[in-house]
Amino acid sequence: MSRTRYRRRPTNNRGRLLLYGILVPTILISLSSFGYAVYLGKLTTIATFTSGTEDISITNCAIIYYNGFTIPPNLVWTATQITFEDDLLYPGWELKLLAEITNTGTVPVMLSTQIYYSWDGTTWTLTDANGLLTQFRIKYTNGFYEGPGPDGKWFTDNEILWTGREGDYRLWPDPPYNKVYKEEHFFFDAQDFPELQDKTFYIMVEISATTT
Amino acid sequence: MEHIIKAKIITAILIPMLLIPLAAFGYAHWTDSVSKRYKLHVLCTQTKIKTNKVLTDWVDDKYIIKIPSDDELEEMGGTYTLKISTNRACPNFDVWIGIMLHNQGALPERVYELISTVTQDPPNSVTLTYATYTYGIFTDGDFTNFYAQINRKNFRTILDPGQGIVGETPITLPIVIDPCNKLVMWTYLKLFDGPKKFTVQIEISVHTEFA
Repeated sequence: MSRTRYRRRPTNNRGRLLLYGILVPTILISLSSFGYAVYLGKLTTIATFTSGTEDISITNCAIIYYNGFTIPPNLVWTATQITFEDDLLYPGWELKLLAEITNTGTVPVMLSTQIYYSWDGTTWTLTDANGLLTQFRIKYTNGFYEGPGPDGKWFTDNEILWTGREGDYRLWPDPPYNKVYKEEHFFFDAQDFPELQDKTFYIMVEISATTT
Repeated sequence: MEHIIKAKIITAILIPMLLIPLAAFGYAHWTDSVSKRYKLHVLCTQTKIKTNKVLTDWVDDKYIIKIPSDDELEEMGGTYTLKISTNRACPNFDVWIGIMLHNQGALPERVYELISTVTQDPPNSVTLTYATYTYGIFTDGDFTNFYAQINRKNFRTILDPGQGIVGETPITLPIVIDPCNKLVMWTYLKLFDGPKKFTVQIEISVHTEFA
C-alpha cells in the first residue's frame, strides 16, 4: 500500500516581497494619481500677441496751387517719397501741395512731421518752420485734415481737421479711418533778401509713423 | 441478495434525478428577487471660466480671436481653457483681460493663486509688464462694478495698471468659493518695445480643488 506524503511547501518569501514591495505601491500610486487627476481642476487662459506691421504710404498727391514758371511743375511721387524741384524761385513764389497718406500696415500709428534742410541734397539738418523762414525766407505751414471744406475746396479755413478715430491722433489700419490728407503750403517771402539769389537749397519734410 | 443491490442502486440514482428537477421547478416558481442598482459618478471640479473680456484700444474686436468664441462660450456655459490671440500687437500695445470664474458645481471649491508664464519669440526680445488682480466673492449680480459695467469705452478710467479697479481692493488667493459664487480676475499686459517681428504668449493658470 502506497502512501502519499504531503509536505508543506516552504514559504516563498521572495513572492511576498514582490507582492508587498511592488504590487501594493503600484496599486496605491495608481489610485492616488486617479484621485489627483479627478479632484484638482485647472483653468487656463492663454493669450498670444503677435506683432503687426507698421507701414504708411503716400497714396495720392496733387498740386493745388502753383504760381511758378516751371511748366509743367516738376512733381514726382511714389508710395514713400514726393519730390518737387523748381529752379525758378522768385519773391512771391507759392506752392500748395496736398498728399493723401494711408495706413497700409496693421497697427494704428501716430503721425509726426520733421523738417530738414540741406545745401547739397546729401547732408540734412533738422529744422522747423521758423528755421525755414529765417534761413531761406520760406514761409511754411502744414496740417493734417480729414477732408476738404463743405465747398469741396482745399487750403481754405473750412477743412475738417483730422483728430484720429477717437480723437487720439492715430491713423488706423482700417477704413474709413486709415487715410489722412496733409496740406503743405510754401511761400517764398524774399523780397528784401537779395543774398538768397542764385542759391540752391533743399527742403525735406518727413512724415513718421510710430506706435508710441 | 443481488436483487436488493439493484434496488438500492436504482433508488440512489432515481431519487436524486427526481429531486433535482423538482428543486429547480420550485426555485423557478417560488422565489422572487429585488435588486439595487447604484449609478455612481465621480465628481470633478466645476469652477469654470464663465465669460471674458479683452479690452484694448489698439486693436478692433474683430482682430481678437477667442477660442471658444463669446457665442460658443455662452452656449457651453463655461470652459476650462480660453485662448486669446491677435496678430496686431506693436510696441506700446496694452490690453486688459477680464475673466469671470463661476463655481457651477455642488460643492465649495478652493481657488489657488494664479500662476503666470510668459514666453517670447525671439526669447527675451520684448520688454513687458503684467499684473493680475482678483475680486470677489460675488454671490448675485454684485459684480456689476467689477466686471459688467467695464467696457471698451470706459476701461481706461476704471482700470489702473498699478492698482486694478480704481477704488477697489483686490482679494488674496487662495480662497474658497461656494456653489454659484463668482470671482473676477483682471490681467493687465503692456508691451513696451520689441523687434519688428515678435510673439508674446502669457499663460495664466488657476488651480482649483474641492474645499
